[in-house]
Amino acid sequence: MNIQTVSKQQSPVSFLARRLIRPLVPLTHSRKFILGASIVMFFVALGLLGRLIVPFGPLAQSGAPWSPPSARHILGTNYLGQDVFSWFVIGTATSLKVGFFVALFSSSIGISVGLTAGYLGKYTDDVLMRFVDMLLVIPAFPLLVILSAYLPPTNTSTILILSLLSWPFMSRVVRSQVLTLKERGYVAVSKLSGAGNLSVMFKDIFPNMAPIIFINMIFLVIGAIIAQAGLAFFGLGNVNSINWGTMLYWAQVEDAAVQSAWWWILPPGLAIGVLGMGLNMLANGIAETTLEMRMG
Amino acid sequence: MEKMIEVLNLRKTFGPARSLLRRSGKRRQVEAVAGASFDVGTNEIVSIVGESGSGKTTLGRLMVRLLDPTSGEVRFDGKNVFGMNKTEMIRFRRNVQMILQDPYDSLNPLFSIFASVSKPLNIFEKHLSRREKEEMVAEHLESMGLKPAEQFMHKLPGELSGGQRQRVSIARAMMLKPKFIIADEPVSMLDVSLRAEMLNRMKKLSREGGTSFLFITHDISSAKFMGDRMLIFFRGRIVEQGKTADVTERPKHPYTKVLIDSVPVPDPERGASFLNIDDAGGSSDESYSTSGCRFASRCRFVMDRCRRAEPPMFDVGEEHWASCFLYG
Amino acid sequence: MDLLEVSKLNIRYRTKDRTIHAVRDLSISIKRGEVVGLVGESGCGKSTFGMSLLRLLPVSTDISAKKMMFNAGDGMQAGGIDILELSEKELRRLRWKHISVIFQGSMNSLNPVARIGSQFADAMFWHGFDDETIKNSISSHLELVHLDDSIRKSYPHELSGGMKQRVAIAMALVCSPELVIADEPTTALDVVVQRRILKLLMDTKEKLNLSIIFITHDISLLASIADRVAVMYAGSIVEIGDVRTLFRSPLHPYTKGLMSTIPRVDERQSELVEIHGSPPDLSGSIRGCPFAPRCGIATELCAVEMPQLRVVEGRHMVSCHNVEVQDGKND
Repeated sequence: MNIQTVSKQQSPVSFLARRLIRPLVPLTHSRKFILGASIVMFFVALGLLGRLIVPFGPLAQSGAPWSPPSARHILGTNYLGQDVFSWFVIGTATSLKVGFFVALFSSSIGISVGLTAGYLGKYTDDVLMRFVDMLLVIPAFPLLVILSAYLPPTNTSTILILSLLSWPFMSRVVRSQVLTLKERGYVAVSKLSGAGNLSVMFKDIFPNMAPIIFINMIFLVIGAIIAQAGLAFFGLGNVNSINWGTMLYWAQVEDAAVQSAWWWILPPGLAIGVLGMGLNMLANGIAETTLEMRMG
Repeated sequence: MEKMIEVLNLRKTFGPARSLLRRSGKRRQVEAVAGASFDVGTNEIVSIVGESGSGKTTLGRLMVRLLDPTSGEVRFDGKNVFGMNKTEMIRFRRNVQMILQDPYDSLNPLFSIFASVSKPLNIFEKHLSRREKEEMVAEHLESMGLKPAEQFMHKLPGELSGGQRQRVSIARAMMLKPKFIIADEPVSMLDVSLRAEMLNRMKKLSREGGTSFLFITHDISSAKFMGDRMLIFFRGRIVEQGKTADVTERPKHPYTKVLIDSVPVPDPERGASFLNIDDAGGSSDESYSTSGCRFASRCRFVMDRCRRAEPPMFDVGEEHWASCFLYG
Repeated sequence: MDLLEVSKLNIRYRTKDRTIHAVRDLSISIKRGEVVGLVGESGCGKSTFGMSLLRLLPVSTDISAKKMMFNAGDGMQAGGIDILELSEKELRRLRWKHISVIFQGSMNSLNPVARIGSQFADAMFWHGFDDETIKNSISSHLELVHLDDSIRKSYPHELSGGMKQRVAIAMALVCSPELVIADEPTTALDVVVQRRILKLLMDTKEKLNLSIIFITHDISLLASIADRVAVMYAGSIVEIGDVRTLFRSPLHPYTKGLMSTIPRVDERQSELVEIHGSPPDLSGSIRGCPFAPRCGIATELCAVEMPQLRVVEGRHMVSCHNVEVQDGKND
């Protein structure tokens, strides 16, 4: 028996890499995934590089007000003569940050609630799910508007409010996944092998719904970015923060449309659309690939 | 014979779960297992034969405590499984294993074969080094015909065929040399050419390893091949039990007779008579009565009392019982 | 003239990265009123062959044959129908009207939200029957499969598995086809129900003078229903013959294996006969006899030369190098 050679080939690092990378390989065959990932990476890169690539401080009056795009100001200037391109790049970082953290926080809540309700079932499930139902029927946007009016206008409170309002859907999805997965044969086998409840939940059930959770997180990101832009557009939240929403807000307040300053309105509007599309394609790519794998 | 596992008046009723907003009331309750009592001895193979919906799978799941019963006991080494504390439960898990029907469902798709098979070792034999675990897993995989084991150990279940997966499942179940294994239709989803090999292997494992088996199946022929004793299950009740040879060669309960007559015989000379067996009586082939003897509506020997009361087990021979008023 | 004549049929599935040669040079003909059993392991091409007769195969499938003729009884097309040449419209006519199918999943393919009667009526309506005929034939066909007429008002979930499979059979027969392809129609059923369904199928066959291709993995079923049995392995027929001949004196080692590997309720066995190994990968070309690696009596010749189907006696044919056949009758 040449087990020794096998062990040598399988160093722990390469084994871990194999485990992590192998499931991702089929994704590279999905054109949607690649295109979606490229779009998202582009915006992420823009956001991360942020201050390194902006030509001017976004608040500095670096040119004449209302100047159209030129070599010096590639996206022109706003009513104060601030560089729109700098605003856009800095705003990208804020918008992405809000999207990312909202997705992170709300899915943490949603996953915990969903897992608990689905796995424990019975009364726990009843209580938690009735509460979720209640949250789901509350019209979200008006509530957002009211809450933002009372909380200090900072990005943190925007993240907080959006997180608290967007987890219920995730918990529903997670719960229904748990309900199907816990009836699977390998879950029974795992229990028979002596595994405890927590081990079954986190080793057998949770990893098998990772793609679905990830897809829903992507939708949460899109939703949060749009909701934050929407709030900002209405002047709620922190209007002095620089993000895609506040860009549109100031453009509207200062009548950019009347001045025909399309260079001020178009970039944030388009960015929201394109990033949304990119994230959507990413999610679809994952969904189609995992479905294909499951079908055999 | 020493009793390995003993089932005492086990019942399981499924119905709409009681919850805050739903009160369990008029909705129909289904009795999946209605008072089963039997035992499996050390080194013995007992087969349970029943059609779909007879409750045989529920019985298996109850016996390994994947489900809790409505009432009744399962005793392992004299102790009630449902009243076991944590340490006793760990000992029980170590000694009792199950092989499931669907090889496509019983392995976690994200874990390598090695990870799945070695899982019991990680829990019960923590002191083993990875090398030792690899050697043990390889040995068990090879004993199930997956040679060379190194070729399979680091694959994912998705890369294996159904037959190979079932071999892996059996290897996993045998890993800790359990005293008792429940096999729930282990070959029904495999190809014909594979079935014989798997049945032979399981029988050999039991004979050589001293493991007791409960073999759950819908196929009375393979039950006959596997079992020392046989239980016939109908709608949650044991209707006949006895030594395999007695039950298959001298069946007593009318249901057992129909079951045996319905097995296709690979002989064209007997073909016509096979199709024309008169088992009339019942109008439908899957109906069952809801009170009295459950088989009454399909039984051609049906009597008045069959519809009124449930027949108890009658002695019909040496260690041979049938639950039918014909023998009362 | 035989009802169905197929000669040198080849079917290839194209997938993303490979081509699976599922049916290889298959030739068979079926007489009117004859029941032919087609037996083999999963993946041997038996279902693919069945579906090819209705041209119900994925679009990325290549079918070629020297001959694939269906000689309909009504003589509307002199010289028969070439199944491979039919247009989509003609195919719809062929399906159900001339050839119909019952599968294992038939009982689950009933629409759960429509009553049995209206599902019948829909199927017949699309084949151009008028209301009066539809009404009468639903009753007569339900009677044919021993179901009460009241069933037509039921929904599928109110019926048991066996009853649903009866409905599926009745629906398959409703346009009076001449050939029925029964693809594992009893596999999901319990033995008691299975026997009744088989009996029903045989009774209706007698009444309507049907031909049936009965596809199964369980050779013992065929003993009681088939007139002829064809054993398939790796896409080809390895042995074919009258049911009595085949069961009394099987010649191909694979046929012998299939017959002895099954546990018996009427015999005491201490060990079951095993067929070792697994079927070959059908995506490549196979050198020699495809069964050779699993065969107990394989010789050097078997590893290099593919045996041809040769006549043993009468209609009994086998493809094995190690079987003595009468000289002169080889082709």
